[in-house]
Amino acid sequence: MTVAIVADSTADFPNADPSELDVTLIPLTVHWGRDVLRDRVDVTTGEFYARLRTDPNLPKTSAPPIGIFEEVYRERLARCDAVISLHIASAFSSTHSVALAAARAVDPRRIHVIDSASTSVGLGWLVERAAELAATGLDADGIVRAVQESIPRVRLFLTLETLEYLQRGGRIGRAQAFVGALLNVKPVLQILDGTVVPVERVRTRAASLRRIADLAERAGAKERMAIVHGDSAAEAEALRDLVAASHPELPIGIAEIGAVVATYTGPGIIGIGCLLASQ
Amino acid sequence: MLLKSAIASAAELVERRAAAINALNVFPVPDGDTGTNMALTLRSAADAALACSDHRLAEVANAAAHGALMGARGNSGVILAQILRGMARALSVHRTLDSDAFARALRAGSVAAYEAVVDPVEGTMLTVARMAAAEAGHSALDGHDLLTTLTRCHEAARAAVAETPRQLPILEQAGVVDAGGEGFRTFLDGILATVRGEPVAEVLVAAQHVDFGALHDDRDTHGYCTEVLFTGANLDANGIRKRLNPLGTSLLVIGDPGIVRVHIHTDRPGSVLDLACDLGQVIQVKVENLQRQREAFRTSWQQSDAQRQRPNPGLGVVAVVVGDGFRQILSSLGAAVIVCPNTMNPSVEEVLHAIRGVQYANVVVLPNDANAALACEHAVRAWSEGNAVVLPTRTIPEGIAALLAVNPEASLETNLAAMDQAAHRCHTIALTRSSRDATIDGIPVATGDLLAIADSRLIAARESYFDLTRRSIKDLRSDELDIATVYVGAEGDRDTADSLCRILEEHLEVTVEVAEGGQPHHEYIIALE
Repeated sequence: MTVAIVADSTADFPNADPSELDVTLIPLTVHWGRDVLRDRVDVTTGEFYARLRTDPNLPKTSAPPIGIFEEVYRERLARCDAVISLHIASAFSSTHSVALAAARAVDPRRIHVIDSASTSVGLGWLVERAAELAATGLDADGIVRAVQESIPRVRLFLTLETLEYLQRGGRIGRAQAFVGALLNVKPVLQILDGTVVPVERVRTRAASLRRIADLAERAGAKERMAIVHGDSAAEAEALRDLVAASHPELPIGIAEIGAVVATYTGPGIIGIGCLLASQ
Repeated sequence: MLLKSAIASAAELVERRAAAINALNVFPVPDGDTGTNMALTLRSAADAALACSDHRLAEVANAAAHGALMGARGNSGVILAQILRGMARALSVHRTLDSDAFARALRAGSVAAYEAVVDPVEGTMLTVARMAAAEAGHSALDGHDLLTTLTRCHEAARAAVAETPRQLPILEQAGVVDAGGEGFRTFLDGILATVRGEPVAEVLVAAQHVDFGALHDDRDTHGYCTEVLFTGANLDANGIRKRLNPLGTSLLVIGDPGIVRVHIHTDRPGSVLDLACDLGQVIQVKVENLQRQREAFRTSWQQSDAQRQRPNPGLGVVAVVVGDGFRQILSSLGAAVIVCPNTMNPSVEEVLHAIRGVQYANVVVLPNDANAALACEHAVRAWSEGNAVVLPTRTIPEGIAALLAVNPEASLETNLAAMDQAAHRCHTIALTRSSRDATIDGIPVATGDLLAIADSRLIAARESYFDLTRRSIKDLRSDELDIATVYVGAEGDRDTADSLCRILEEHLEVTVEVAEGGQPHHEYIIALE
């Protein structure tokens, strides 16, 4: 049985090269002023942050059009027996719902749509796993089961410069509790159960980075670990060094998030992703 | 009757001596208010005693004790409230306040005082109460009358107060006796004066401010809350009561033949006023629409909820502060704030009120000052509708650190541990001016000298704030510190704050920030974490 893997552009691959994976990544869209830009295709993250500094307009995002999904599904099903479509958490984007609708329209029995309950490297790891298993010839149901077993093992601990972007974009989730501080504080958050969840607040950036390293360390035995960031390469490197010291056997990649996720978080986001080992 | 009069006299006397007692504060900073706290606590007790319509000893004593507890402020206020509670319990089996009853009551009060304090220290109000109770006991056993027992007991208290500097070196150095002890002696003095037949103040029972709040019944939803104070000749409270009874509910008539105060919930406030005018001269009238009163009350609850801006799932925090800047900061961080007008001394009632306003089952109370800790403890003990716990933060910056550590998703236990750790990591330096001459920890201090108090210890005196700051941070390890925040008080200025920042930056390599605290007494409070 041949299975095609489809995902979206919010996925990050710090330890792999997506072009070498047999995966179709469908871009979400960034709307900025009058521009309609496909994530990672028409706009790179660097360009995105540069524009964010000067453009008075704020960028907005949208899911890929249903037509694109249908086209991709049909094309893949012409060559494969089944399609597995993995996407950014439904709390963050309607991409998953659009994918579901497209699947229903094209061939609901052969297309399996999965809500990753995550994004960025969390989604990326699930995609890599699915691709690996597909390459071994595992059938669609087997791959779906394996992916679903992995979802609860994904952790993403992050800190931001400000909660403003999350709040304005409506993706702040339970971290709403941290909004409004009159003192300079940095939020420490995590993505859990497919939504943003508050952990604590600290006074300085340095403290927030130490804190997410601490959270990652205490999360338990890990299969994989990576660092993602937005416009904070130097800090990401320093954080990797800090974390690598207590995880010498794990390769820790660094990736910069895409423009769509950057719209949600703003610049200065740093996160540590962990894929916990199975019990 | 005797007890009511005695408590009222005691309250009055302590009130008059409050400033003098406040001045006995060990640290020469006018943020200590033992005198004020004890006066307010006693005033609350006296008001409750006077409002008690029952004249039996046990009931009046109970009312006074309850009033004291609700109004207790500061450590000294809370201990005094506990003394009154012990006394009330002992008096519950007595019908008259005689020598024997008094001696037993004072003994029970003294025991209760020791139980109120986790680490009892000799040379404080506890010692004075104990010595006074011992003397009262001997006197009663020897068969002396109430006046003699009280006189001797008061003398024993006076002697015990004089001894306190020998028991507590810090008092000797500061050149003062223990403020709480002196406050308690004053309390006994007030009672003695009444028994001697020289009440401290003319106690016009009905003219005292009386809190009728306790009478308000949720079932009264219509009509008017009506209070009338009137004078006359040979006023008969019972007769007045009989005539007003048919007019409404929650009726209270108190007073004496010369002056009467009436409280009633009625649809016909005019009729009450008419009766008063028939019987004498009206001095004061208050008529409030009950429906609106209830709505206003409900709205103020809702407003205080809305002001806290966002829900904090699972855990609520109550924080004591002083200063408008601090109020805004802690409020913006999600705490329900108790704003004290001048010194950090909320009453037990105020803390309970704040806990009540928090919508979550788990509540952590941050006293943010050693003097507010006991009142918070007692409020938490009295709170039966959920889990409330005190985290004994000593300064407002410690409270802020604890508040930041709150994880809205974690359990109470986990949060308490994290909050405690965060509070402990925070160092506080308060910069202020001395309000009198004293010697603290071997350091001589003159009025007007600049002081630094670091983590509740006096560090240095006399120099400039800049030198004081340098001295206070000398032993701090810069690798353990991230950020210094200078909170500017009501009497401080931004320029000096900025200069303090330069010093902190230079010596500790930390990020520095200035914020408005608005606090009285301490011109600058520096938080290091």
